[in-house]
Amino acid sequence: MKPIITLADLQFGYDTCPVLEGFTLELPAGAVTAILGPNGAGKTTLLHLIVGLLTPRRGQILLDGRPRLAYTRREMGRLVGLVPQDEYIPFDFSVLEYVLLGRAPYLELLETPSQADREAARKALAAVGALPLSERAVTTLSGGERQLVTVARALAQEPRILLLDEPTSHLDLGNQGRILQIMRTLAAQGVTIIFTTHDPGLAAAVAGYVVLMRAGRVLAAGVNGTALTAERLTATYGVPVDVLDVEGRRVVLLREAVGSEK
Amino acid sequence: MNKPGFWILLLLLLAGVLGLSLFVGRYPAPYWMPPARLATDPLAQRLVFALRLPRLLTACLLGMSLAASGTVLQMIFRNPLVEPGFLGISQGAAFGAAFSIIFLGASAVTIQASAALFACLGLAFSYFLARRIRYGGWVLRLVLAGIAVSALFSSGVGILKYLADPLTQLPDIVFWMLGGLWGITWQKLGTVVPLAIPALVILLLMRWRLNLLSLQDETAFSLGTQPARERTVLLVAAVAATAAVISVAGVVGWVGLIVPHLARRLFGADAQRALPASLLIGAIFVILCDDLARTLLPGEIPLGILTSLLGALLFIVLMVRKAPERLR
Repeated sequence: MKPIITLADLQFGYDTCPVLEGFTLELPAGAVTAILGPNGAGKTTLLHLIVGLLTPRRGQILLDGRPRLAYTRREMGRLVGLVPQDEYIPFDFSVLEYVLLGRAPYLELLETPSQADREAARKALAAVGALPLSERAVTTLSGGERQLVTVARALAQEPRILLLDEPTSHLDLGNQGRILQIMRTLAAQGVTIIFTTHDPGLAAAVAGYVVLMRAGRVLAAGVNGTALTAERLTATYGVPVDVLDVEGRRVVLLREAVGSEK
Repeated sequence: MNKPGFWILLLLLLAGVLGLSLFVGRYPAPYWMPPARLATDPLAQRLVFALRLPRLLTACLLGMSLAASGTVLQMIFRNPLVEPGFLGISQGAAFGAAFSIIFLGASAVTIQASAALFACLGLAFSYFLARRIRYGGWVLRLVLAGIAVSALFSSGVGILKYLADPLTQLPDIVFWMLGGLWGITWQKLGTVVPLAIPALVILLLMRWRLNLLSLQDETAFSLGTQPARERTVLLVAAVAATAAVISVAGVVGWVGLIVPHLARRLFGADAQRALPASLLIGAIFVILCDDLARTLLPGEIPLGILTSLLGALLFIVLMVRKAPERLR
């Protein structure tokens, strides 16, 4: 396993409140990695540290073997894409105009997008199956369509690492499936996918690599089959959890819920 | 795609309004002066070339600057209800003008300099206060600071009005705060141009970038921008343009709010089109309002009253009407 992201002994906190303590983690290239943990475990903070929005008080972040701070802002834009949780867009850009903004890391300060950039934006829209939405105003999209378009905007950056912050949290089952399929396809094309989620079942279904976090520390990290055990999930969330094997697929259930079924 | 026809139409409209407005006024008779009179009447010549022309060009710059600043501030603050009155700029300028009228003498140059100075002080004060506020994102902190600074300056204006001589100084202050272009000369226009034109050029050059900076911070940042730094550049340019024009025109409200809305309705939200459209529409709107201001009644109506009246009416119409198909 060749790590594309190495986090060494990170410490980070807001004012006096520590969020991450002695955080050490290596994430494999070209895999789908799920980051699991209870609310406030520091999942979003972790993504923001990787993308460079936050700076650790101590410790080191290596991206593809190079310290994060050695990259210029534009280089970072080409290396790491971010799909934030609930992106709010107050102006009614057309979908294509919005996705085109993903080309910014390839443009100089005063440069405007070229025909090639437009093609790249269309390609990104096609990759998520949203090309027919091109001329719609982003403010008129449904939640699922908007999430697809946000992913397309990040794909237009052609990033090698794509971070998604709870990409399926407000989506119905069909749209969840679509996002998961896109993540798998991208990983197969060599893009490293890292997403946070509250749903261990989702992690079990799609992720090749899983990180369990609690209170700013790594509880466990490893390939899906070995890391995602009932004991570890119980320790992560502080409630008893079962991991069942249903026809070769692993299903995560709260123990109370299982009990009430009997 | 753009419809080039609409741009040509808008440009022709501006040129037409500028040209016709030269002959609108109350000399020799109310409303209209036959252009042929220019050839024979030396007073008409002086009126058109020494007074109306610089005044019209200033109205043009005033509309462009306020509309451009409005577009830029709305996008940077991700809030379609923001206008240049934000961030203590207008209230700062009003305080500066009132201060000058009472303590420094009411000469046009000192009022203008003092208004521009306090407009910039208002922004600087808001900026540094925002940096000291300990919670909220950068935009929220700037907005909060702007509200506080505006309130301080407007209570300062209240005190100055209270102190002012009600017969000589108070009318000057009130009239300045209503806004108008009656005293514009080539010389005054000359003080606006060096600040307003470069600022507008910077805004126009960065117009695609403006789209990026209208996204939320984490997205803009992840796209390789430096949001705080780039927003500050745009903000300074927008304020420079605004301070330059309001220092000669006084407080002219609603242009910076309504024109960007109209431009976005017609040309879409992408600032590549919305910003230049705002400039053109702003210029046309202010020139027309100023035509009414100096023609409608024997005495001049303050420009700010007309822009507010027409702007607010237009706003109501826009809000209740369904958005038309965009001109792309």
